[in-house]
Amino acid sequence: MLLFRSEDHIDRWCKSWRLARGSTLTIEQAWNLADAWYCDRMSPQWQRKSPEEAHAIFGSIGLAEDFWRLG
Amino acid sequence: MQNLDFKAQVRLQVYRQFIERGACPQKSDIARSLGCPLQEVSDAFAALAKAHMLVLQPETGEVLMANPLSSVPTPFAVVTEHPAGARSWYANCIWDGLGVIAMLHTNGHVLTSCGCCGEKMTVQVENKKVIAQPEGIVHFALPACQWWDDIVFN
Repeated sequence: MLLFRSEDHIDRWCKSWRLARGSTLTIEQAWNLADAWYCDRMSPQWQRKSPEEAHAIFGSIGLAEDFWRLG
Repeated sequence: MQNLDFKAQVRLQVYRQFIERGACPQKSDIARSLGCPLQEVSDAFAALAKAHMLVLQPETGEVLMANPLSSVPTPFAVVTEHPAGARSWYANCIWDGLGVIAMLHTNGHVLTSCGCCGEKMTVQVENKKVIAQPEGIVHFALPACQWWDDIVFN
Protein backbone atom coordinates (compact mmCIF):
# COMPACT_ATOMS: atom_id res chain seq x y z
CA MET A 1 0.00 0.00 0.00
CA LEU A 2 1.71 3.12 -1.27
CA LEU A 3 1.10 6.84 -1.21
CA PHE A 4 1.03 8.74 -4.51
CA ARG A 5 0.92 12.39 -5.43
CA SER A 6 -1.94 12.01 -7.92
CA GLU A 7 -4.15 9.61 -9.86
CA ASP A 8 -1.80 10.02 -12.82
CA HIS A 9 1.12 8.80 -10.74
CA ILE A 10 -0.89 5.74 -9.68
CA ASP A 11 -1.62 4.94 -13.33
CA ARG A 12 2.06 5.29 -14.24
CA TRP A 13 3.10 3.03 -11.36
CA CYS A 14 0.54 0.37 -12.30
CA LYS A 15 1.71 0.45 -15.90
CA SER A 16 5.37 0.10 -14.94
CA TRP A 17 4.57 -2.90 -12.70
CA ARG A 18 2.11 -4.33 -15.24
CA LEU A 19 -0.57 -4.43 -12.56
CA ALA A 20 -4.24 -3.65 -12.86
CA ARG A 21 -5.31 -0.60 -10.96
CA GLY A 22 -6.47 -1.52 -7.45
CA SER A 23 -8.46 0.57 -4.99
CA THR A 24 -7.71 4.13 -3.91
CA LEU A 25 -8.38 5.85 -0.61
CA THR A 26 -8.19 9.44 0.46
CA ILE A 27 -5.66 10.12 3.17
CA GLU A 28 -8.56 10.57 5.60
CA GLN A 29 -9.95 7.14 4.70
CA ALA A 30 -6.48 5.62 5.13
CA TRP A 31 -6.15 7.17 8.58
CA ASN A 32 -9.62 5.97 9.61
CA LEU A 33 -8.74 2.49 8.37
CA ALA A 34 -5.42 2.51 10.26
CA ASP A 35 -7.06 3.78 13.44
CA ALA A 36 -9.83 1.18 13.38
CA TRP A 37 -7.43 -1.64 12.44
CA TYR A 38 -4.55 -0.92 14.80
CA CYS A 39 -5.93 1.00 17.79
CA ASP A 40 -6.13 -2.17 19.91
CA ARG A 41 -2.94 -3.92 18.69
CA MET A 42 -1.07 -3.40 21.99
CA SER A 43 -3.91 -4.89 24.02
CA PRO A 44 -2.90 -8.16 25.75
CA GLN A 45 -6.20 -9.69 24.64
CA TRP A 46 -5.84 -8.65 20.98
CA GLN A 47 -7.04 -11.22 18.45
CA ARG A 48 -7.00 -11.12 14.65
CA LYS A 49 -10.17 -9.63 13.30
CA SER A 50 -12.66 -12.06 11.84
CA PRO A 51 -13.69 -11.49 8.20
CA GLU A 52 -17.00 -10.14 9.48
CA GLU A 53 -15.23 -7.65 11.77
CA ALA A 54 -12.88 -6.63 8.97
CA HIS A 55 -15.75 -6.13 6.53
CA ALA A 56 -17.56 -3.99 9.12
CA ILE A 57 -14.49 -1.75 9.41
CA PHE A 58 -14.08 -1.51 5.63
CA GLY A 59 -17.77 -0.73 5.21
CA SER A 60 -17.70 1.95 7.91
CA ILE A 61 -15.24 3.98 5.85
CA GLY A 62 -16.91 3.41 2.52
CA LEU A 63 -14.91 0.42 1.28
CA ALA A 64 -17.71 -1.91 0.33
CA GLU A 65 -16.78 -3.10 -3.16
CA ASP A 66 -15.65 -6.66 -3.91
CA PHE A 67 -12.00 -5.56 -3.78
CA TRP A 68 -12.36 -5.43 0.02
CA ARG A 69 -13.89 -8.90 0.45
CA LEU A 70 -11.58 -11.22 2.37
CA GLY A 71 -13.01 -14.38 0.93
CA MET B 1 0.29 -11.61 31.74
CA GLN B 2 -0.45 -14.64 33.92
CA ASN B 3 -3.90 -15.09 32.43
CA LEU B 4 -2.55 -15.05 28.88
CA ASP B 5 -1.56 -18.18 27.02
CA PHE B 6 2.11 -18.47 26.08
CA LYS B 7 1.68 -17.34 22.47
CA ALA B 8 -0.15 -14.22 23.60
CA GLN B 9 2.62 -13.48 26.11
CA VAL B 10 5.23 -13.83 23.39
CA ARG B 11 3.27 -11.60 21.03
CA LEU B 12 2.84 -8.93 23.69
CA GLN B 13 6.54 -9.03 24.59
CA VAL B 14 7.49 -8.53 20.94
CA TYR B 15 5.32 -5.43 20.67
CA ARG B 16 6.27 -3.97 24.04
CA GLN B 17 10.01 -4.42 23.51
CA PHE B 18 9.74 -3.16 19.91
CA ILE B 19 8.13 0.05 21.20
CA GLU B 20 10.41 0.48 24.21
CA ARG B 21 13.67 -0.10 22.30
CA GLY B 22 12.78 1.34 18.93
CA ALA B 23 14.11 -1.90 17.44
CA CYS B 24 12.67 -5.37 17.05
CA PRO B 25 13.58 -7.87 19.78
CA GLN B 26 15.11 -11.20 18.85
CA LYS B 27 13.95 -14.61 20.00
CA SER B 28 16.69 -14.64 22.62
CA ASP B 29 15.42 -11.33 24.07
CA ILE B 30 11.92 -12.74 24.41
CA ALA B 31 13.19 -16.00 25.96
CA ARG B 32 15.22 -14.03 28.48
CA SER B 33 12.35 -11.74 29.44
CA LEU B 34 9.89 -14.64 29.82
CA GLY B 35 12.41 -16.96 31.44
CA CYS B 36 11.79 -19.79 29.03
CA PRO B 37 13.81 -21.93 26.58
CA LEU B 38 14.63 -20.42 23.19
CA GLN B 39 12.90 -23.29 21.40
CA GLU B 40 9.59 -22.45 23.06
CA VAL B 41 9.84 -18.91 21.69
CA SER B 42 10.76 -20.25 18.23
CA ASP B 43 7.72 -22.50 18.32
CA ALA B 44 5.50 -19.61 19.44
CA PHE B 45 6.88 -17.39 16.64
CA ALA B 46 6.07 -20.12 14.12
CA ALA B 47 2.54 -20.51 15.47
CA LEU B 48 1.97 -16.73 15.46
CA ALA B 49 3.23 -16.53 11.88
CA LYS B 50 0.93 -19.37 10.84
CA ALA B 51 -1.96 -17.41 12.37
CA HIS B 52 -0.85 -14.26 10.46
CA MET B 53 -0.07 -12.48 13.73
CA LEU B 54 3.65 -12.05 12.91
CA VAL B 55 5.69 -12.30 9.71
CA LEU B 56 9.07 -14.01 10.07
CA GLN B 57 12.34 -13.70 8.17
CA PRO B 58 12.70 -16.81 6.00
CA GLU B 59 16.19 -17.90 7.06
CA THR B 60 16.55 -16.92 10.71
CA GLY B 61 12.93 -17.15 11.82
CA GLU B 62 13.30 -13.80 13.53
CA VAL B 63 10.51 -11.23 13.23
CA LEU B 64 10.28 -9.34 9.94
CA MET B 65 6.93 -7.69 10.58
CA ALA B 66 4.98 -7.20 13.77
CA ASN B 67 2.38 -5.20 11.91
CA PRO B 68 2.30 -2.28 11.72
CA LEU B 69 6.01 -2.30 12.65
CA SER B 70 8.85 -3.45 10.40
CA SER B 71 12.09 -4.83 11.80
CA VAL B 72 14.02 -3.61 8.74
CA PRO B 73 14.28 -0.15 7.17
CA THR B 74 11.49 0.71 4.74
CA PRO B 75 10.35 3.84 2.86
CA PHE B 76 7.86 4.48 5.69
CA ALA B 77 9.57 6.10 8.68
CA VAL B 78 7.22 6.96 11.54
CA VAL B 79 8.03 9.61 14.12
CA THR B 80 5.80 9.98 17.16
CA GLU B 81 5.60 12.49 19.97
CA HIS B 82 6.65 11.30 23.41
CA PRO B 83 7.27 13.14 26.69
CA ALA B 84 10.93 12.13 26.52
CA GLY B 85 11.28 13.32 22.92
CA ALA B 86 10.48 12.14 19.43
CA ARG B 87 10.66 8.41 18.77
CA SER B 88 10.80 6.58 15.47
CA TRP B 89 10.18 3.22 13.86
CA TYR B 90 9.79 1.81 10.37
CA ALA B 91 6.40 0.64 9.11
CA ASN B 92 5.56 -1.78 6.30
CA CYS B 93 3.40 0.51 4.14
CA ILE B 94 1.46 3.75 4.36
CA TRP B 95 -1.46 1.98 6.09
CA ASP B 96 0.95 0.61 8.68
CA GLY B 97 2.75 3.94 9.01
CA LEU B 98 -0.50 5.52 10.08
CA GLY B 99 -1.18 2.37 12.09
CA VAL B 100 1.86 2.93 14.32
CA ILE B 101 0.48 6.33 15.29
CA ALA B 102 -2.98 4.83 15.86
CA MET B 103 -1.58 1.92 17.88
CA LEU B 104 0.30 4.29 20.19
CA HIS B 105 -2.63 6.72 20.54
CA THR B 106 -0.39 9.70 19.99
CA ASN B 107 0.46 12.40 17.47
CA GLY B 108 3.10 11.83 14.84
CA HIS B 109 4.00 11.79 11.20
CA VAL B 110 4.98 9.37 8.46
CA LEU B 111 7.92 10.28 6.23
CA THR B 112 7.61 8.63 2.84
CA SER B 113 7.71 9.41 -0.86
CA CYS B 114 5.48 9.12 -3.89
CA GLY B 115 5.43 5.46 -4.96
CA CYS B 116 5.82 6.59 -8.58
CA CYS B 117 8.26 9.48 -8.73
CA GLY B 118 9.95 9.47 -5.32
CA GLU B 119 8.96 13.01 -4.36
CA LYS B 120 9.10 13.42 -0.57
CA MET B 121 5.71 13.24 1.15
CA THR B 122 4.82 13.70 4.80
CA VAL B 123 1.59 12.65 6.48
CA GLN B 124 0.94 14.36 9.79
CA VAL B 125 -1.56 13.12 12.38
CA GLU B 126 -2.52 15.47 15.18
CA ASN B 127 -5.43 14.83 17.52
CA LYS B 128 -6.69 12.22 15.05
CA LYS B 129 -6.75 14.73 12.18
CA VAL B 130 -4.61 13.83 9.18
CA ILE B 131 -2.92 16.05 6.60
CA ALA B 132 -0.66 14.97 3.74
CA GLN B 133 1.96 17.39 2.37
CA PRO B 134 1.76 17.48 -0.58
CA GLU B 135 -1.76 16.08 -0.93
CA GLY B 136 -1.77 12.39 -1.70
CA ILE B 137 -3.83 9.34 -2.59
CA VAL B 138 -3.35 5.87 -1.11
CA HIS B 139 -3.39 2.95 -3.54
CA PHE B 140 -4.00 -0.70 -2.61
CA ALA B 141 -2.73 -2.77 -5.52
CA LEU B 142 -4.01 -6.17 -4.40
CA PRO B 143 -7.54 -7.10 -3.37
CA ALA B 144 -8.03 -8.00 0.29
CA CYS B 145 -8.37 -11.72 -0.44
CA GLN B 146 -4.79 -11.74 -1.84
CA TRP B 147 -3.03 -9.72 0.88
CA TRP B 148 -1.46 -12.74 2.55
CA ASP B 149 -0.48 -14.49 -0.70
CA ASP B 150 2.70 -12.38 -0.68
CA ILE B 151 2.63 -10.12 2.36
CA VAL B 152 6.11 -8.73 1.70
CA PHE B 153 5.13 -7.48 -1.77
CA ASN B 154 1.79 -6.28 -0.45
